[in-house]
Amino acid sequence: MTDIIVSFIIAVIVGLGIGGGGFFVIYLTLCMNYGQIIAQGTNLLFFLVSGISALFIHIRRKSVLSRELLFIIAVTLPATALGAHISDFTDPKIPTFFLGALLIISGIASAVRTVKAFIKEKNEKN
Amino acid sequence: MENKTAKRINGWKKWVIIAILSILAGCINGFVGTGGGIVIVYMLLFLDGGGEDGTKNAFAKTLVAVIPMSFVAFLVYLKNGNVDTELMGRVFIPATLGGIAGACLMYRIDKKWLTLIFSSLVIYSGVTLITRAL
Repeated sequence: MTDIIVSFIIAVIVGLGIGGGGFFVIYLTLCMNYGQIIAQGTNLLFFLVSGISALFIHIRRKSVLSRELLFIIAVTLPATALGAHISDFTDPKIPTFFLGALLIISGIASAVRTVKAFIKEKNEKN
Repeated sequence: MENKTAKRINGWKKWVIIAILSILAGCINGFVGTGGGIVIVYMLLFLDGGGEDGTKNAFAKTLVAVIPMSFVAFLVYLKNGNVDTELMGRVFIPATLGGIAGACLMYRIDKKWLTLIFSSLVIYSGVTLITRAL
């Protein structure tokens, strides 16, 4: 039951687009004692399921495809395959550390961006 | 400010920046199983400019880019036996419904407070993971 509730909440965060991509890895490693690499693999499948569902809603609302986006997709795919291969024969502590650092950076960047938006909104009101 | 940046970076420079950051995003997403979207969303915000609509559009575009990336990474992890498909069988329905609910809410709510709460949670999780890795 906990799995179901937690996965629903994390999927809502993924759909909202406020940086929920890593939460399922955190839940699996810190709460369910999964190994880092298997948590990453399971998170990818979880993200595909929740992300595709959210994508349908976004696509219905506006056209999101552009030349830049197609180029991004074409470039990221081989790089992703390379990264995924490397993770299989790396000490799991390295991706754990890397993910931790990435979360701190993205959390700070997101918080700074939001605070700036708050300040901008307040200045516009005054 | 963002629009000035978007105007300044044009032509081949823009494509070089996109290529470099896309390679970085792909490598991160494959290596860590997540995180590629962070690079892409900031790249799009930097190149396209901001504003409330621009931000929502950047999030939607990022989702479009991250799904094929995650699919490729997932295939590699699956091939190497690193996916718990049994757990996914249990959480498939809540994950689907949650994704739809989140995407619908995105256009209806002011996410600023939520973003601040989750940013704190993300930073805390990052510190916990680093402590565990050391």
